[in-house]
Amino acid sequence: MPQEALAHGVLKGVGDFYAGLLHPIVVPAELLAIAAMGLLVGRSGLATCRRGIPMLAAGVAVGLGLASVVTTSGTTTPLVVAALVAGAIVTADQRVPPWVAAGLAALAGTALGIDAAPEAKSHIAAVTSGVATIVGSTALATIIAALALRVEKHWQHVAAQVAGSWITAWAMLYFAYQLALLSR
Amino acid sequence: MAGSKFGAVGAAIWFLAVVAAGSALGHTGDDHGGGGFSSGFMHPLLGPDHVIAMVAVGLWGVFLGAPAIWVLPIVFPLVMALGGAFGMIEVPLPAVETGIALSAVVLGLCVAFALQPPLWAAALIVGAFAIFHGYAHGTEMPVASDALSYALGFVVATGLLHLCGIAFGNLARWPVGKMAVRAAGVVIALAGGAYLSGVA
Repeated sequence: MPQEALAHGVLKGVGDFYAGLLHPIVVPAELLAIAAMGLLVGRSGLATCRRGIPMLAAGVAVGLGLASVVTTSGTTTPLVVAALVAGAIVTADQRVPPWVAAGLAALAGTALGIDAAPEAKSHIAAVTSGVATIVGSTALATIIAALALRVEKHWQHVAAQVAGSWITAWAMLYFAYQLALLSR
Repeated sequence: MAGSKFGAVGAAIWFLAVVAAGSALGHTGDDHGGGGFSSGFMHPLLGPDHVIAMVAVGLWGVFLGAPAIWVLPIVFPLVMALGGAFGMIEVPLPAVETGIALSAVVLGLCVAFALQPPLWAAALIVGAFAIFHGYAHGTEMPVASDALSYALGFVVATGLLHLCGIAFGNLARWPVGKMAVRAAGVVIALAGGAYLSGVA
């Protein structure tokens, strides 16, 4: 029997809602972009969280909407760029003004929304999955931001920087890999 | 306070479990890199010369004290990634395996003698060797591999090896533990010597 030709597969057997909800968690580029943004806005303070997290959610919604009207590809790179910038700022233990974090969150969110756009069989399934993706990514970013916001002890402070360092190193390797592919 | 530490450990385990669950992805991995985490994660762990050097960095950090104990694990992955980039784009770097074996010898001796140089000197030593380790990972990175997951796997594995070293190095709070840690440094230096001389 012929199989469905999905260029962008979904999580099998979990239903549209959970497929959308889990998408930002099980795709490494999306997960790390969210983690980096969460750490950045959390470390930058409550005012930054208040702007950054809604902008991330709005970005995801815009991205999902864009993906439904235009064909897009190559959204992994913007996600990694956002992760790299946010990770580097966290590693350097710097804080950013709310508008900078909001802009970066909007970029990451839009790329994530395009990347996570479902190829569902019906409009209802697509909307269900899309709403779940917005909920999942926003909740994850909020949790990480809340943890980063509550950093008080020295080891917690260092742990945030170590996480930022790992994300930055990962993003650097990704771009090196892309460069290597171009040169081969 | 204990609860928050358990929470942090739980979060780390959750994170690893989620990222490692590559085979459950609907994505093929070509576009997102869903399946290479385990191979990237295992790569540093399957090379004993890598393992002992990474653990030695953590052990040495304990003797160096703050802030080095935390600066080194933050800086090392970044420099290692730079080395990995050099490896992937095929920047010539001579005697990579020798450099890796030498790193185990030098770092092992630093632990064995509980050396405490200035932070800049320690960072220079560790950073120089990180280039060699990263370069080896970069050149051995399979072309067809899921770049994202593979890179994430080996960065996380390297970081966890550092943490293992730091955790073991905490034994140095007690006199007997300090001897044990320094003895571990001797073992690491000897193992590095075996790799350097071609015995192992």
